[in-house]
Amino acid sequence: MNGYTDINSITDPTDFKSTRVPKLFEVDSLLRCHICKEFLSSPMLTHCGHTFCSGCIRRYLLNTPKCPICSKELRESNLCRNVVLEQLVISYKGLRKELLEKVQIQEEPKNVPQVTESLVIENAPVASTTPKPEVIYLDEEDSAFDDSIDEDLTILLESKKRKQTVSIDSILKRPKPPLQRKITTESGTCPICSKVFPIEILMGRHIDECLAVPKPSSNYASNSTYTNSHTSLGKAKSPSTEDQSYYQPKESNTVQQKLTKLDYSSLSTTQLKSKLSKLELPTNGTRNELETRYNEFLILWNANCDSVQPKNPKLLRSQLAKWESAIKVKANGTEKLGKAGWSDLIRQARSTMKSKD
Amino acid sequence: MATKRLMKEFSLVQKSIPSDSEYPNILTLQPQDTLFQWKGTISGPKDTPFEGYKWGLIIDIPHTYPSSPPSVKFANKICHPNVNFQTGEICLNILNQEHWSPAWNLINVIVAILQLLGNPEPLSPLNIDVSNLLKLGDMSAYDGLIKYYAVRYGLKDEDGILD
Ligand SMILES: [Zn+2]
Ligand SMILES: [Zn+2]
Ligand SMILES: [Zn+2]
Repeated sequence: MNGYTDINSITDPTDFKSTRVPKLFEVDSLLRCHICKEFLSSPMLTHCGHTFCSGCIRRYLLNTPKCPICSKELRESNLCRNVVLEQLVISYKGLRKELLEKVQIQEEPKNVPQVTESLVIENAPVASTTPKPEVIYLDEEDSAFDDSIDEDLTILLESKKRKQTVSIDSILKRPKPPLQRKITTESGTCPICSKVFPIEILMGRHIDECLAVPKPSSNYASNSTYTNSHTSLGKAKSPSTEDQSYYQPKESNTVQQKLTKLDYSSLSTTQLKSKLSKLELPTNGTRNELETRYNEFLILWNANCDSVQPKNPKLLRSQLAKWESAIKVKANGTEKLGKAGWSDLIRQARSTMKSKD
Repeated sequence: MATKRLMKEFSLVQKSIPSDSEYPNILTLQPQDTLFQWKGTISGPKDTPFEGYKWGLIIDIPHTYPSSPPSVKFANKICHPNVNFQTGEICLNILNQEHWSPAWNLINVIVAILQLLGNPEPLSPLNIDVSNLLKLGDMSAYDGLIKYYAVRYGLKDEDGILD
């Protein structure tokens, strides 16, 4: 997955460090892949007890047959799916934003007396100005916490004995502030098409879309579903909108067979091209590009086979196309965002930070 | 993959450098024109002959990152047994493909370089002169030579911090 992402959509465990429950930092870290630092996607357990995204570890093992954490010898055949963990990650991703909101420390005037429910409601507009360093979710449903979790959390929070000016209860029950999208008028230049866009659009979805535009020379299927589901807005979709697919995998989307590695030394370019075209992949480019294309598709495909929510193969092809164009862009050195672009991005990140304090 | 991961690191760096007390010797760390080229500034760790001086780091990242390690060199001259005085090249095992782990990030790499400043490895020298002083155990000469070059080549405040 390439393309610049909205800086505000990037989450990491440190988001929890300055909350009421800093230990959630550990939970958030444990559900992430050591390689890509994202939440585990189709987690695979190794025989040495370590866990990585299926795609990440398969890509790594292509060149290095050992575990990235403990250096024990490791082959793809030693990998085993971890379905419960995958579902746990999906579930956690769905409630993370709400969890983060609920444990956020709110700054309130010191002289507020005992906070009551009614006061809390009056305070809601104040809360709504609190910046969210979080992904903005498409799904706004408000139900991730049932009462028992609330209770547990209250106990946890009280055990922290932090100084508070607001009762914990009121924080847990506080109505959710309205969603706010940061509006900025700063602009940047797209590294691919060189057009100027507001930085928000550029970092959010433009580059993804720009990368997804098929090159005239190739026969990649462009797929708007893919583009939409991977913008900063879409990628954090709560599983509640996808329950159906993850508890009862859709037959239509089920990917059949794993692909096997090719022995390139005994394969003519014509044979390689015919393999690629059977997979509906482009057959243009140098021999090296053809091999690289097959290898990357092999990883995407096999990782998809490990997923409890397999994607449509069309999406994998479009993902491959983006990956290839990102590499080309890097090779041509044309992906420069330019000094102005970076300083915009940096300024944006800084202002996010400042408003967080 | 690389871009997304680097974007994530950039976001993390924005949060923890230079405000985080965990990394007092990392003064700056920033991508340049692209996410594949970064620059950093470090200050010499306490209780080492490097204390009180600053050095720039130039970081080049391959598009296969994090499967492959970044390459890091010093931007200004530094006298250290495991650093090539002319090129700034650093001899540090985790920067070799063989010992690199994709679980590490750029901050980890810089922390490892800072550790190397205080814990030189005389068995893999890139600077024979200062490395021989270390082997002989002549610590006052070792410290003296390092400081001599630190005064000459270390970044001054008026050089500004790389940005
Ligand atoms: Zn991963
Ligand atoms: Zn292991
Ligand atoms: Zn564009």
